[in-house]
Amino acid sequence: MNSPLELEQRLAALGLNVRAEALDRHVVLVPTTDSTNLADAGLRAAVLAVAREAGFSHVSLEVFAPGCASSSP
Amino acid sequence: MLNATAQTPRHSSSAELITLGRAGEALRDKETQLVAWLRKAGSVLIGFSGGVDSAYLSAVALETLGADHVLAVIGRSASYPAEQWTRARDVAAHLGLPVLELDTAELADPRYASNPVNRCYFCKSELWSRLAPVAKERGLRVVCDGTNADDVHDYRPGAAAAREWEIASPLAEHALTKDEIRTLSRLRDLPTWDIPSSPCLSSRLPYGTAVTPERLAQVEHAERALRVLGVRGDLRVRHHGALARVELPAAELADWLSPERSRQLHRAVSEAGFQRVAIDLRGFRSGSLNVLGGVAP
Repeated sequence: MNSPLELEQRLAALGLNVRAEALDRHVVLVPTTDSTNLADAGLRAAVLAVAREAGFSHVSLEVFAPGCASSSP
Repeated sequence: MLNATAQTPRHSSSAELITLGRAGEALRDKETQLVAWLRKAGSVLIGFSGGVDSAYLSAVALETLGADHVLAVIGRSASYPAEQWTRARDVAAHLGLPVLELDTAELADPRYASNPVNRCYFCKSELWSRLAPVAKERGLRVVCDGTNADDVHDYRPGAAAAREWEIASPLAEHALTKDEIRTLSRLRDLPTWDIPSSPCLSSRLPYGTAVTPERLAQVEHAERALRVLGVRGDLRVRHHGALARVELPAAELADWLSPERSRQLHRAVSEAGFQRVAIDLRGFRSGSLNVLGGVAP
């Protein structure tokens, strides 16, 4: 499937506001708000499961992405 | 030569092996068979990285055969961080192991530098083509590597080069797994027993991304900076062009995903020349790029 849009929608349902950028089977989650916090292991596991179902083998979270409110280092 | 006389092999600490019960007996048996294999070999040249496997093999070989019949050769390649050579020298000195250092030039081979899925084949071909003549010149009968029983199940195109050069893999041959080698190393008080695995820096580049000194330097710089920041376990900075994907030990992930720590991580990795930095949410995965490259499940 590898659909970033569908993945974004499913992650939004988990409370995560991110843009999903697909690089083949690797998807980079780019936060669109400051509140993205994946330190919680349970939430991380849920994100990985959703991404796997969407066809991605690797999921990463961009840190201090440009344009994300106060996230500039 | 620090120790020209073979000692009676003492095996890994007998008392501790007894406390391990049947598992300890099995380990003792494997080590006994390894010692017997080394005795039969008579003299060995060992491709030496100073890592868990080659250090253990070297320690047993040195104890069994004596320093006149063992030579550890460090292949110095631009695809390994400088710290690794330093560690290899330190481990060899700790063991009293005779060492030779040779430069290898796989980066000059376009078949390697183009980073195909069998890149490791060209690296190992280069390495063994340098080491095999040394063994012949010095009258060392067998050239060995530190391949273990787990490695045999991985995607390892370098194994084909080892077969072509008739390189022995006595640890794998005696079914010694990485965990078992760590246990046996700990019982021998080897300083390498708990060090993380450290494959070459080229393993951080997706297949098809050319291996260049600049990209390797970026990875080396970023990983070194993260070590300085406090990453302790297995760590890989995967090079996806402008983006660095950082694989951290699973146990450390929550800490590094906190705002303050991720800020530090971002700064450290950015200074290595990456425009974007991302933390892999699964954490360290051995052979991660083999999965992305479609050569491993």
